[in-house]
Amino acid sequence: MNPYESQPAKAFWAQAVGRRSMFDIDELTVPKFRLLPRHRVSTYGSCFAQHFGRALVSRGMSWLQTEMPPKRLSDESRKRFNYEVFSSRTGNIYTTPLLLQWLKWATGEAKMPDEIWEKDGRFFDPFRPAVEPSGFASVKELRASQAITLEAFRRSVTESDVFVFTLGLTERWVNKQGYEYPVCPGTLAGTFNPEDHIFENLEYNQVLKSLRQALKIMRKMNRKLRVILTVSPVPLTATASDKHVLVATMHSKSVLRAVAGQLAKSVRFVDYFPSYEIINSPAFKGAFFEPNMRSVHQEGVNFVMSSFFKCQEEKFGKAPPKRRHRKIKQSKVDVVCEEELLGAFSST
Amino acid sequence: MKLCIVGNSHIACLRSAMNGNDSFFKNNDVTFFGAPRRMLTKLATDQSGRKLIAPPRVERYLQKTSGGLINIELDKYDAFLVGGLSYAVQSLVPTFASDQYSSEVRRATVRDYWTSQTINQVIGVLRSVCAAPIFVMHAPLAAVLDPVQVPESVYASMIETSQDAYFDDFSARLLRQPDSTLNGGMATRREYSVGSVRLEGVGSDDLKEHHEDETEHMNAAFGGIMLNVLAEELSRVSVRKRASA
Repeated sequence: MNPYESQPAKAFWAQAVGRRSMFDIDELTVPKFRLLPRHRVSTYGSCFAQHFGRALVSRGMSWLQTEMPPKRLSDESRKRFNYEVFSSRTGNIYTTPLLLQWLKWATGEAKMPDEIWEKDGRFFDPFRPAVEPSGFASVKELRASQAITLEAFRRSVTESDVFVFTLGLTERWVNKQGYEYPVCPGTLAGTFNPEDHIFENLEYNQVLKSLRQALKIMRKMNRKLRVILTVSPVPLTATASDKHVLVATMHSKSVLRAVAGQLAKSVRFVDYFPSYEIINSPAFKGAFFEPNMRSVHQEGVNFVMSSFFKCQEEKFGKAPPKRRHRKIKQSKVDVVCEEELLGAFSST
Repeated sequence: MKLCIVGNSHIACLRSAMNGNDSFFKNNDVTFFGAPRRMLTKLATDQSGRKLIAPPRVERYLQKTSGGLINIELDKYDAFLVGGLSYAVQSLVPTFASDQYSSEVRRATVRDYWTSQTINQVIGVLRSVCAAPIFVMHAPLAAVLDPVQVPESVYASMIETSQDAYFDDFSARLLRQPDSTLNGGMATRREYSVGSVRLEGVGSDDLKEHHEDETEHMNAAFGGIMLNVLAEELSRVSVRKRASA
């Protein structure tokens, strides 16, 4: 008897994938830990991470929100001002060093740089350039908002049971003084200065090291915290490397996928969920992408999130009764993604 | 001056101020048009664009509260006061109580709130066909017994931002409850809700009181105070008076 003879059906492509409708592909992963309605879940990361929080709410799970919008702010305005997009108003955290940077600021290990971008009398936060679409009215207002978000981000780590982080990019822009921006200065706001602003494409070891450090800090802040990593299936809008954007995308995602897999394998409190594979595997024939082959349409998001909860059920059984929950509107266009704005810089 | 007061149950306190020999009514010819809750959402212009009309169910209320009129002939009035038609206004105040929210978020919050209220339809349809001054008396801050205490300036800041971010678009003036009526910055003093009257009595002298526990509606004393606020505002604007009908 060879080792394959005792393998379950899911181990064989023909049985698990080839002879099935793509919608019947199941048992994609075996979760390490159970997610219950009472577990408070924080979500951060790239654009795709935004779907996670809303999916949790729609299934009666507890999405931890530590930076609440005003009660009377409409759903559209909440989205516009980045409320209820992630657990606090950090904006997109695309890279693992950017996550580490936020954690260092939140714990006081490092100080948020003083840099502020000004345009036409309005003030933009270089580290959250999209949270106030027309900028802040004053530096004082901006600083107050930064302090509130930092505290809310800190609380979202210390008060959550599960931290879901979606890895998005390896390409990043850093200031020569050593800190990172979520978007290239001069795109969404600010002014690009080649003397100060440096492009980097993170390598496997850099991603791994920064994420390990981030996990270490998070566990120090909250020793019971568990982490679920996912990789965004959304391709790059644009690359600053000399590669074709398709090749640059596959390179980035492969690095991120490898790091996520490595950490899920080696760290007890870290798990990986294959949303990247569900959208990008040839088995799914690109069916979950919009015609631009970049944006994931709502059915794709729903399928990913259903798979997530189905895997939970396969391992742990049916979830207990759902909590009452407030509806948060879902639509295919309501994802807040700073990186998408790079598309505007295409010359054609 | 010919003044038209349009609103829901919250205009009853203005009508009840009439019985207190308020000087406002001696100097102004006032017509009330009231309908409960959100019914005035259905108010629309007729084909001529010179009348506001309503479905029969609402007409009945307009007729009763105005003393026989079933539609609002815009050319008959020099100015308009839109009253009530907004719910839980006090829920806006906490947004202004700390530096937690940016000025743009605050502006968006008040804009979203007012846009979602019946007042939005009423002043929208009114302004679309009428150039006369429009004043707005929001539904009073509830007269709860033990309200959250915030400085009165916080309420004033909410009113100022509402004016700037929303009412200016309609060239309408939002009236502010005077500090003397406030219990902290989020509530009306309890004494102003005692003996408040129901909308049903507007249009007659048979004003029926709310239950003694009522906290949302205010009484004649409050109505008198708000009419004084209106009178002060009216004195500041240029109102083209209509010829007597």
